[in-house]
Amino acid sequence: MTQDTDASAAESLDAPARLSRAAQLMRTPSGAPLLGMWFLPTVALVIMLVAIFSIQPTAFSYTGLSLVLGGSFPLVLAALAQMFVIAGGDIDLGIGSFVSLVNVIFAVTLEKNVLLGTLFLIGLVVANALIGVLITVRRLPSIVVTLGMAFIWLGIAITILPNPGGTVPAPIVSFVNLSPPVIPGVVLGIVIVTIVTSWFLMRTRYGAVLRATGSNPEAVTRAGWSVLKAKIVLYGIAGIFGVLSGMVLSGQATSGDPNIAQSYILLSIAGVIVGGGSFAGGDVSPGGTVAGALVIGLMAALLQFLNISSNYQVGAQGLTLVVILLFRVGLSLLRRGRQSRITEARA
Amino acid sequence: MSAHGIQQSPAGSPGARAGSPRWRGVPRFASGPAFIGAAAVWIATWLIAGHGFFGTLSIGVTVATFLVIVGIGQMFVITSGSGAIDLSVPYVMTLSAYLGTQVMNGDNGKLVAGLAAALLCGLVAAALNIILIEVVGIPPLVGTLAVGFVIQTVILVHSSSSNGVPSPALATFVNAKWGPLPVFGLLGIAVAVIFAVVLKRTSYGRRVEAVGQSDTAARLAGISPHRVRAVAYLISALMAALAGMFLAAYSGGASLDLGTPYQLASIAVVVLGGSLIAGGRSTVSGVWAAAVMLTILITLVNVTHASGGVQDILEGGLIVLVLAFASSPSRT
Repeated sequence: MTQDTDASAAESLDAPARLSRAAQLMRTPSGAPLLGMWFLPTVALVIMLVAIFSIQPTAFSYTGLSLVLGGSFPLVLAALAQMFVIAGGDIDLGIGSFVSLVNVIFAVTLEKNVLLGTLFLIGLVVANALIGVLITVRRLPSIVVTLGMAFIWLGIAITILPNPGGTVPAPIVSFVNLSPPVIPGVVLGIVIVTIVTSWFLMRTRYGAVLRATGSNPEAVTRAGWSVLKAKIVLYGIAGIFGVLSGMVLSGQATSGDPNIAQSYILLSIAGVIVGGGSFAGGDVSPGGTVAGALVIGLMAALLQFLNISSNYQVGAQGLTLVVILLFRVGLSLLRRGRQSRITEARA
Repeated sequence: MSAHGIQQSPAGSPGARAGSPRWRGVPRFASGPAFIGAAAVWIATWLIAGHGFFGTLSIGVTVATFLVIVGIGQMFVITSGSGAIDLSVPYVMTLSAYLGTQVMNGDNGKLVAGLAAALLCGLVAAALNIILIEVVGIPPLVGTLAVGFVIQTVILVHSSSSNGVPSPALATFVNAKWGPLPVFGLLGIAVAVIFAVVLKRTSYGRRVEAVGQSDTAARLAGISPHRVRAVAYLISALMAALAGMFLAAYSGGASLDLGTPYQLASIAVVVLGGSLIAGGRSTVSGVWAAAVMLTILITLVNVTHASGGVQDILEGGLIVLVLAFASSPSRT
């Protein structure tokens, strides 16, 4: 019932009130309520890591960490790509095929012709930004447009490389598997992307505008920002993270496969949602998304250490998703109960 | 859930409400473009492939029936709005295909038992979906996906045990011809007609569209949105279970990726058919026409010996182009 009154209150706001609400939203890009968002997935991640380390103590070492976390790093990047699209109030069902296509480009095109391959990758990012334009200008349902694009990306990938094969250039492989002293490269990479995306989306002015695009596009327009430009930036960044995800995946796989990342379509969405985000738009957390994607990805490693057949992997990922969401529903019920008690006390 | 739906809707702003762009753009015959597209693809395939004018359509309508059945189920879910979508469809299809054929085991006497097993599988999936989405309040995209993942594990663990054989009677029925007419194709048309009546002429159908248009308004009118959506998920899962069973009979048995193409295709036919992806207004005839169009298009690509990649590019390009040029502007 609280939700209902909230919604009707939001609807009954007149234009000036709406504007001031938008201004508020932009003035405080990060507040106390957002702090809670990454909390639950981070707890789940810690539990997951503790479980893995207690079963397999050798995992808590330089090589162990590289192996355990490395497998999830491409998914983390894909989930971040998905997060930027969800922040704008859309959903990207094309990310899996997009990452697969990037992998194929690395293994075939870039191997043969560095310039052509690089142009191809840049073209992909631009194309992704143009999808954002198409969706915004024609006011199309993002789910279906990106679904159509998924087929197109996959088709291009299969045309370039019908069967798994090809070779990822050695410099890419060695860059992805870089081993700096003390801290594994994967850990370093995850920390860097978490800090950079959190800072950009949660701390900068434009980050707030981007999030507002998803929650209240009308307010963004009235505050003098361009929704179209924001969507171009969101889809462009999503494209860049898609390319990064494909690059890391290529460096790890060392060869190409047009179907390599199909599972990312749904796992990336799962990562964002487990990470505290919601489909309502604007309501996402970069730190939570990273933790969420790691939880989903580490599930596979945990099952492997427990000697459970990989057949159970998808089911376990589904159950993890449900359990974390159940916790969230429980937490929000608790919070709502406390809030109503506070309002009662005030009255 | 309701707050979530309203927040997403640009119609919540005063300007948008005054112009009501959501309804201005909806044509009287939303399924028109899908029928024109299906006819165009039919004629193109007839000219190129040389399967005969009627033969092309006959094959197309028959094979499209699987997609028609699944698509109509998906349509009811999407129509009920609030971001409702059923991603568990392919997993339900595959599991019911395995269970059904195993129970039948090539025996006509066990046909009913096999169909019952398939439908039971749909029932369980629907129950899980409904609990997660309508009772607990998990977003549909994630809830149905999680259920799908769990079913996928059941399939993987279970399918390694044994591989069933569909009952010969069912296999004959799916491939049967009534004079020059394909029986299964006629079944697809009959199913579409029945559900068109359900959607537009029964109390439940009107309630589904009402809930999809405005959750709050429907509730104030005395409708329970949760119950309406729960029934939509039930229809979707049962239709998927049936389609899976039929598909197993058509292809001589179940396989691990039997349902896979239908996850995205079921959503595609709803939208290509002219229904609003945001819910609230749908057309069953459009789902049928879009399913026939997609199916014949795939035949066409196969006939021209184009690679699988070209087929995917064409299919995806068609979806994006149809949306970009022919579709009415709708909510994101």
